[in-house]
Amino acid sequence: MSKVPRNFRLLEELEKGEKGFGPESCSYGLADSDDITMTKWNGTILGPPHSNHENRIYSLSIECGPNYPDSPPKVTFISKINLPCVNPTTGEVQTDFHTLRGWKRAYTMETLLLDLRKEMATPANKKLRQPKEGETF
Amino acid sequence: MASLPKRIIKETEKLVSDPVPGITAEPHDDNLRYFQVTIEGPEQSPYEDGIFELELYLPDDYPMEAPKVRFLTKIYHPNIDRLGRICLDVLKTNWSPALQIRTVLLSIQALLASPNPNDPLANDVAEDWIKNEVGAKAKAREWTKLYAKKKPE
Amino acid sequence: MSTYEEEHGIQQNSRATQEIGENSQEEQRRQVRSQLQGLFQNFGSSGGEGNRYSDSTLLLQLLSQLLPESLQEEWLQEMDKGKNAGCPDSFASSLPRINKRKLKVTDNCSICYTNYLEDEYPLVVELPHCHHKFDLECLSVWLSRSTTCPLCRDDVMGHRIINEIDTTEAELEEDWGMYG
Repeated sequence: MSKVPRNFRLLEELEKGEKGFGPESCSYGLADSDDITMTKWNGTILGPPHSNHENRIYSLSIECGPNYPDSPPKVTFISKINLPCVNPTTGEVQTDFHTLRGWKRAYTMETLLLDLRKEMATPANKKLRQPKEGETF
Repeated sequence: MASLPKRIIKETEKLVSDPVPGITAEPHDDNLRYFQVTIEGPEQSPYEDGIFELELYLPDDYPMEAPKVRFLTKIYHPNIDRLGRICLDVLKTNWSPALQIRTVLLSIQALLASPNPNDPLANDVAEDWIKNEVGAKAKAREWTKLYAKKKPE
Repeated sequence: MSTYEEEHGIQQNSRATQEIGENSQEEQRRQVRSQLQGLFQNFGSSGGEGNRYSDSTLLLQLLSQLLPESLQEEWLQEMDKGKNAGCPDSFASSLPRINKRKLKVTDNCSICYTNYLEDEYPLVVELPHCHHKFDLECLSVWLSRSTTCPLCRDDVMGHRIINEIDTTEAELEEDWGMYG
């Protein structure tokens, strides 16, 4: 398999996101539809059921740098959340979060959002006390 | 990485040895399926005197599947959207494996010379083009000055 | 000579299935799935053109008890893709072969750009009506997804009957060559 260059890879992800082919539990799109570099993205995660996140919608910002997808994107929660892998003051997902640390070229923004959602639902995390809904970092 | 099909090698060599006037296409050293492209705006079009940058990628299935092409330079054109995506039949349903990088780039140059607002990708631009062609062309000329590289005299 | 699939790093499903040596459970499951999908597609295409979609939808509904929803969706999408796709497999293999002696040194395949005579045993075929020539292997891949001639966009399926006559003529001609 040859390497799909960054921009064409991001266009593929954009189309998948726009057409809603992805799972319902997360979504993502360009933050600025005029940005020809496709660097800044918005994402949302629907809080997993049977957890303190149930029925909440979390928004995040995702930054795909020039080396994406060889390097992972930078992901920051905009909605306040209490999760060990998230910096409690900035909302940034720590680079040692397993999906970022073990980043592979085949991973997408969707992989990342779904893994974060799984992280919210782990036995250790699902009952963590959460900030009031609607607060932002 | 799988080796490069002979056809791609031949096409690349020919693009260098026998370039198309007004068009350049060079593969990146680290990805020989990924080309850096420039197209000169056709004369007597609003894109005249501008040099537009594009990127082109030959997917694994090429030539059974069309190359992927996108403008990197902002351009005001009814068939090119804000992200530089191009609405052109030969890149989609009318692709044929007998077409090549060269013919695709020539088709894009022809699209600059004759926009087709009735088959739009950028809807707002197409609307502008149909309602007020003179104004739309003036805006296209303005964007060419603003964003495209200037053609050397 | 490497095949089209090898050059392009594409693995065909059937080959992938054959190559499975140690049948781990996951692989077995995948095999069952691909067999099911094959069945599903055959069933879909064996119906009349008009009700093909509804037939397969019905089958899908019956299968739905066994399959996860995501997979059903994927198959439906595959089926939609297949709707405007190519010729039956038998079409390309039924095309008249071009005798090596009739090929010029400069003739090459406009799909892979290879000179036919570089190969000691070139397998070149000709399309009915427009008579454009291609490597059989290249053309087969293209005709599995399209019904048009790569060079002139002629609808190759539009001349099936004429093609059959052409084949006979080509064979006759060759016979004449042999005995003449």
